[in-house]
Amino acid sequence: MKAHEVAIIGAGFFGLRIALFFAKKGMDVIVLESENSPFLRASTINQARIHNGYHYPRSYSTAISSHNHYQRFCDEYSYAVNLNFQNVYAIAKKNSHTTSKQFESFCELIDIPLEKTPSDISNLFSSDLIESSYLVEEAVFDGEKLKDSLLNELNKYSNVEIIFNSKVRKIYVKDGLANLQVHDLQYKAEKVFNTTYAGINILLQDSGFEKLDLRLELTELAFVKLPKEIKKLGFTIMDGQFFSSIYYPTLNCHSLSHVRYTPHIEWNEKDYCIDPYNLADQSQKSKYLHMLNDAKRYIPILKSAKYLHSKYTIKAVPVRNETNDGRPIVLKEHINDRDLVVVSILGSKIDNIYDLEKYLNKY
Amino acid sequence: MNQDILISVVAPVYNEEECVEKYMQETLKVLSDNYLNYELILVDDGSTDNSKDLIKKMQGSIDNIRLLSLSRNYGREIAITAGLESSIGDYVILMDSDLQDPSSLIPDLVDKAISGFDVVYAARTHRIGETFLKKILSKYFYKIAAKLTGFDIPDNAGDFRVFSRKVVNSINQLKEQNRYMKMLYAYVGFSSIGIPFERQKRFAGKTKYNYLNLINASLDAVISFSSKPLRIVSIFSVSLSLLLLISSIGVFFYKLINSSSIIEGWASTVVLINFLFSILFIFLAVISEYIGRVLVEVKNRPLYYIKEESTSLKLKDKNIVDDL
Repeated sequence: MKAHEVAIIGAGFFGLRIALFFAKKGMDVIVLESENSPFLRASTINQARIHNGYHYPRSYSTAISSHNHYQRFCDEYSYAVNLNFQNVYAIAKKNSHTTSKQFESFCELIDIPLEKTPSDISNLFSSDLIESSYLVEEAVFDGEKLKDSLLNELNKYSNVEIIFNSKVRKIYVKDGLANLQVHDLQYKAEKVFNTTYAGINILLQDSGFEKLDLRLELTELAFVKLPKEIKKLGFTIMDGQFFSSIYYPTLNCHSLSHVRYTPHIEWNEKDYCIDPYNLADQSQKSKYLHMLNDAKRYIPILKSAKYLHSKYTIKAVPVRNETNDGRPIVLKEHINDRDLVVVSILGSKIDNIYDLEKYLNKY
Repeated sequence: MNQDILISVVAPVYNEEECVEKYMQETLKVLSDNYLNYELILVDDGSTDNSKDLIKKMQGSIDNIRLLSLSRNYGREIAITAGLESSIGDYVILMDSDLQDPSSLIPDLVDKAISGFDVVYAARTHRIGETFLKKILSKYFYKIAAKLTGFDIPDNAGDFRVFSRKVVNSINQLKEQNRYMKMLYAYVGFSSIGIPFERQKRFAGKTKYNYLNLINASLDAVISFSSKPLRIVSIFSVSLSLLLLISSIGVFFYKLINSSSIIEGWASTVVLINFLFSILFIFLAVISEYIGRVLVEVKNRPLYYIKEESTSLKLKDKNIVDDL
C-alpha cells in the first residue's frame, strides 16, 4: 500500500478540519473512521452550543478565546448556525459559584453584551431560587448541516480520501513511516493525527505511546419538547450543579443536561484505559427524570415539557483543567522528527479549531 | 414499580460513622426494590468523624447517593432545611440516619401520600429507649405548645415523614432563622395523617440530643411561633399598674387622714420603687427576648453554607472490569 503524506484518525469535526487544512496545502490526505459515517460521536452528541464566553465566568482565558472565535465560527458556518431562539442565562440564588454582580462585572470586563430579561421571561423563573436572569447572544449549530458543509468543502479536493468502518488498532513505526493497523491492513503515512477524542488514550496505550492525562465520563444528553410558550427560549442556570436546556437543531427539540446527572460513570485513564465507546453503546438507565424534576423547581413551566429520548456519549476532560472549568485544546507530540510526525489532539469545544490551526502550520 | 415519580430521601448525618453505612445499604435496598427513580440525600452537618468519607466511598459504587457537606455544625434543623431545599423528588422523605427510623416503612408512607395526603408521618406507638422523664416532658411540652401557639402537634409524630412537593416548596419559602421544624410543618398546614410504627432502639452510637438541646428547641418552638408570652406579661403588667395606681391613691388618702403615724415620704417611696422596678424588669425581659429574635431575622443571613457537594458517580477501575 502506498504511503500517504497525512493520515487522520477519526472523522469528527476536528479530524475533518485538519484534513481540510492539509488538503488545501495540496498534500495527500487519508482519514480513517471507525464508524460508517462521520460526526457520529462527540461532534454531534453534545450540546449544540457555540460558546460566546458567557459559560466560563471562572476562566477568563477560556471566555475570551471563546468570544474571539464565536463570530468567526458563525460567519464561516452561517449555513449551519441557528440564531432562531433567545438564550437566557440565569444565576441561582443558592450554591452557585457566581453571583449576579460577579457575572455582570465579568461580562463587562471581557466585553460581551448582557441584557436583563424582560418581565415575561424573568417571571418564568422561581423567584425563590433564581437571583437574576439575562438575555445573551449565543447561537447553536446544526450538526448535520455542519457535517454537510464540511464534507462539501472537502469534496472539492481530490487529494482527500475518507475510509469508513476502519478502526485503527495500533500505530507503529516501520522503515521511517508510521503504520496504522486496521483489521489486517496497514496504512502508511508520514504525518499521523490522532483525533479520536475519548478514544485517544486506548490507541496510544495499544501503540505503546505515553497517554494523555484524561478523565472520561459516560454522559447522558436528554432530549425534550418544551411547551410552546417557551419553545423559542434556551435556558442555562449558572454556575454549579445546575442544568441547561437549549435548542438542538438536528432534532428540532431541546437538549437537557444537568451537571449533577449528566455524568453517569467516570474514570481516570491513568488507572483504567479501555475502549470507552463500547461502554457508550451499552444500555444505560436514563436520569432524565432527575434532570427534569430539578429543572422544574427553577422553571415551573417545564412541568409540561415532554421527554423524548436520551443519547449517551463519552466526554473527555483534561485532568489539569478540572478545577477552573477551562477547555483549551490538548496537543501532544509523540514523535516529531523531520519526516515523521505522530500527534494526538483533543479539541474540547468546537470553536477551539481556530486555536489549533496556529499549531498545524509547523507540521 | 412506579415509573413516573421520583422519590427523595433526606437524612441529616452528624457523627454517625457506626450507623451510616448500614443505613445507606438498607435504605437504598428499599428504594431500588420499590422505585425506578430515587435519590438519597445525606446532609453532613459538620461531622468530625469518618461519616463523610464512608458516604463518599459508597458514592463510588452505588448510584443515586448525594452528599451535602455543610461548612460546620449548624444543628439538625438547619441540616434538614438544607436537604429539603436541595431535594428534587415529587415526594420527599425525611428520616434519621441512625437506623431508628425503619427504611422498610418508606413504601407505606409514600403509598399513603400518593393516595391523597400531603404529609404522612410515622406515628410512634412506643418510645423505646427513651427515659420516663423525657416521655413525660415531651408530652407536656406538646400540650403547652399547642395552647400557646394554636398549632396542634401530635405528640407521637417524629421527624420521620413524607412530604409532597407542594409542602416542600412551602417549607422552603419560610426564611426564619429559628427553625423548629415540627412547628414549621404545622405552620404550612396541608392535609396530614399518621401511620403507626415502632421506633427502633439505636443500632449503635449515642443520641446527640441532651436535655439542654431539648429545652432550647422547646423555647425556640414556642417563642418563634407565639406572641402569647408577651401577651401574658402585658396583661400582668397592666394589672400591676392598676394595683399601683390604687395603692398610690390609698397611700395618698391615708397620708391626708393620718399623716403623723408614718415617717415623712416612706410609704410613697417604697411602694413606687418596688412596683416600678418589678414592672420594669419584666418589661425588659420580654422586650429583650423579642428584640433578640427580631435582630436575628433582620440580619437575614443565609441559613447555612454548603462546603462541598458530591453525587454518586460510579467509578471504573481495574476491580470492576466484569460489568463491561
